[in-house]
Amino acid sequence: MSTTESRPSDHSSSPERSDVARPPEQRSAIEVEDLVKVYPGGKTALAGVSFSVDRGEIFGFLGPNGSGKTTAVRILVTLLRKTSGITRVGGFDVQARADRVRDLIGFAGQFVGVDDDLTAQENLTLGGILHGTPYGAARRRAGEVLEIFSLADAADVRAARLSGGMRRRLDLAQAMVHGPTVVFLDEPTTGLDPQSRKALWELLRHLSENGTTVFLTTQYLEEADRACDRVAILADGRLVKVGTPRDLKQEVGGGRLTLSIRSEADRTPALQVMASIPNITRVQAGRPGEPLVVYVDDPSTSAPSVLKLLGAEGIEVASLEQAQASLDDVFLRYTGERPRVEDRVEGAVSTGFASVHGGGRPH
Amino acid sequence: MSATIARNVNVPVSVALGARNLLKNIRAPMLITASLLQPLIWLVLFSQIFRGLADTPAFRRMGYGSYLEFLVPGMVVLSMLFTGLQSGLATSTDIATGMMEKLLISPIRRSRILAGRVIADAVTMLLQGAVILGAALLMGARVRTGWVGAIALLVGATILGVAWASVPNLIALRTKNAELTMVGGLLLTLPILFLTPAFFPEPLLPQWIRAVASANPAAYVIETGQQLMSLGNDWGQDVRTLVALGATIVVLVPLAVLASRSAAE
Repeated sequence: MSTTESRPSDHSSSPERSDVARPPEQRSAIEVEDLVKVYPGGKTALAGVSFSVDRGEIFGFLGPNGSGKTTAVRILVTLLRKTSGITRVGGFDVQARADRVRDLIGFAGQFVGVDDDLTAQENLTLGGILHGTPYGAARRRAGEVLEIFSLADAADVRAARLSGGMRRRLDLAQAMVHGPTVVFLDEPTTGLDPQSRKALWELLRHLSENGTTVFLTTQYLEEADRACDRVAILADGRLVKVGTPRDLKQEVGGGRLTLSIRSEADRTPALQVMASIPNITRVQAGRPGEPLVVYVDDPSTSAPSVLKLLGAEGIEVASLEQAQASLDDVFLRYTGERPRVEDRVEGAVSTGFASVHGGGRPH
Repeated sequence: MSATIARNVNVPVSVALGARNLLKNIRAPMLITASLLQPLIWLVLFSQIFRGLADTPAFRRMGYGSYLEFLVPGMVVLSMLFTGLQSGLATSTDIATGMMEKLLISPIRRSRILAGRVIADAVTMLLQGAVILGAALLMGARVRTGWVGAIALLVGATILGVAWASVPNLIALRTKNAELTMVGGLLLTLPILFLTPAFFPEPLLPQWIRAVASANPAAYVIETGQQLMSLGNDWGQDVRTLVALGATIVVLVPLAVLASRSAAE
């Protein structure tokens, strides 16, 4: 740890990591301007993306599969070359000063970058050594980090014998063992049980309070809602929206009503009725057989008036559900698609958890 | 300042990576055992099958001792070729598991990754060569040039093995595919061994094989090994072998370095 503290670039452990130590333009931990990535085959993964992430911020990158999330992360962690645009991490150009950027960052990708033949402790110790920590200090630090990630009991177990969830935690631990300033996590909660995910969010919050910047991609919208300071929504290689979860939710309305109408013939009249109600922000008509989704400022006051007006027109409502707006709605509005069902929060956790534990591994 | 720190630990990083690679060989010894067993089995089998060759006037005129002694250098080189193949497989495993990415985004020079690989390969190859030579001694072979000759044989073969390892590593880095690395490496391994005087003295080989062998660095190492085993040291032969090894390194190693640089697109 002592080596890490002596590094000017590291400010995760020092309370006076003041702006005096850095030029003002480095207040942004990540700056991306007009980032374009066209793969050799001609596929455009990123079509001009711009955003910046402040130091200490938890920034969530949301988007459907194939939207370019992983491409962006791989460019920022120096694994992939951009086609054009500006990318800076910690004030350093990612391509020209890759060496400095690598000093600052930690990364956990979707592949689990853990050596199966090494123990948990050895994996983390190697991570420390790779970042310039002497062996003894790296080993001590590995012990501390194992504790943080509830892996202390597995310290001397070879990674191959760990359960899927534990390996995932070890991978995340490896991204953070060297005290990075900016942590990149590509879908970090995939494969984690609910308890571990909660612990991870708490840890990320703690890191962020101490000045570490966290950049993560996720498809778990509720989590991004709860844990991220700001989120960006990516669709087809373009950023469609950046803002705090709160701002984004307000934009789609305070809540939503999901209505099923008894008779398909009433769909068009129903839409006409909705158009006349003042505090409805937007109506998602849906295809025949699908419910109507009505965005409103306040679902609890709007529900009765909607029912009343529909009733006055003789339109029968089979069911009505009301909910506060979530990032799901924002996502739906801007990308035009719902995240795939198995990617939605609860389903994914339980199936992921089951497959991890059904794999027959010990622990 | 962090650059200074990185420089101070340069040596430990390659050593740490080398130790990690060796540890993997020890903990998952299947492949390494196979690359040791194959030459050992061949040593026993071929030394029996071709035993009669040693009694032919042509062989005897050349001054070699037993066929076993004649065969040892080829089998030592074979084990190194196999280990070189496994080096490439280890690299493709690292790519598949995401370990390579971990290394690539670490603030270390690319050459350290390569150095870690070379250290582990060299140590493994030296130990394997020693085991094969030891087995041959137990079977009754003698090294005419003594300890110095034995060590020269092992070191020369190890240098060849490490240089050759660039080829499977190159395939692994370019294809990122373990099967292709295995198939490509194996396809090359046996011709490299057979296009040498490993099994028959050079004068007994067909003309075209002798022509190919003159461009095959393994042939130089094996011939020198046979000299050291049975005939005594020949400085002219030693120098030719060193030149051949130098040329191999000059050609192959930069290729592997280039491939490792381009591993991040």
